Amino acid sequence: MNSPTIFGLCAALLVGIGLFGLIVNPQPLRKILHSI
Amino acid sequence: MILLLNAGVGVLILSLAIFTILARELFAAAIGFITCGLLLTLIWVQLQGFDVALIEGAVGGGLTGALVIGSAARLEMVEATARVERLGAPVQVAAALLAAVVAAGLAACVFALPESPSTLAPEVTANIDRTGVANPITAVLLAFRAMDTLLEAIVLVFALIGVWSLAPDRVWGGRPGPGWYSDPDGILAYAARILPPVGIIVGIYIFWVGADHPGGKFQGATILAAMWLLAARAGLTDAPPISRTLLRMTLVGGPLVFIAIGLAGAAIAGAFLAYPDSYAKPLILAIEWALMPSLTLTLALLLVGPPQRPATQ
Repeated sequence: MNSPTIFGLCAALLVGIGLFGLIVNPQPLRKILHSI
Repeated sequence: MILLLNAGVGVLILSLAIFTILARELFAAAIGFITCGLLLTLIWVQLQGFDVALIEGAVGGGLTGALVIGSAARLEMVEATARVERLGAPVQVAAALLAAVVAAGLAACVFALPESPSTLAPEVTANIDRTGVANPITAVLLAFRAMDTLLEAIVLVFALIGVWSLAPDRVWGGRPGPGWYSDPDGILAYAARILPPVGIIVGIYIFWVGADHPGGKFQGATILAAMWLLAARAGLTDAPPISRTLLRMTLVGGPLVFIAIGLAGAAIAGAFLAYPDSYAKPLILAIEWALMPSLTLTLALLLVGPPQRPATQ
């Protein structure tokens, strides 16, 4: 396994973590949109 | 050894991402996000993507970090309510499953990538001499794919107009931002006096070397915008009213020069944004010089936000 593959896998996991965070904790985004 | 270090950086950034998601305070999450951006910069350096590393550090970690901290400060009032509104366990488990499936799909795509991907790098290397610049990234952005760069510059202006359009009618044409004030003898004012001279030189240097080395107008403009923002947050300067003609001319000046050079290429070299061979480098530099102030102003004003005060205040 080379470095681009390691970082590619990290990127895939980061997307998953970000998606999870967006779903379970959408309040900050909602409040920002609401305050606009 | 390098592979082990890279794996360590990967584990670190994943841990930081989890911390950012689970952090109970918005400010802590914002700091986690900024640190993630800085680690991403390291990763791009490891992947030999120096230009991407510079823009990730300046925009991904720097300007976006400032934006996230600003948002966290605005949301401080509602943070307590947000904690109460957390979803139940079944929904969290379902979200975790969905996120795991998406991550697994993307990971499978990473393993499915070909060993030696198709690349246009040989074509760029073969034709870079005709552009007169030595940095292949600059050659791609301002010669081979100049249309993309032109549209990026125009999109930024439209984004700023979108932000301005959120202003209430009574302050339209007024000054963006709340009008910051800080203790003249405090650490913020001190930093705002010390850092900008250095930052301005670094920003101009990164812009200047962009033709031949990693760097360029976007990275340089981001640093200059950050320096202005630091001085503004310390109350040492103020945002100009958006009704000011000089401000508006500067904002659109860069894209207009870009379009004018593109049209001249259509007339002289036979295609929009085509450069006559012997004039390619001077024209690329002219576009860079024209875009630099436009981008600096646009990025700074995007961060400051819509007008909140009358022009006279």
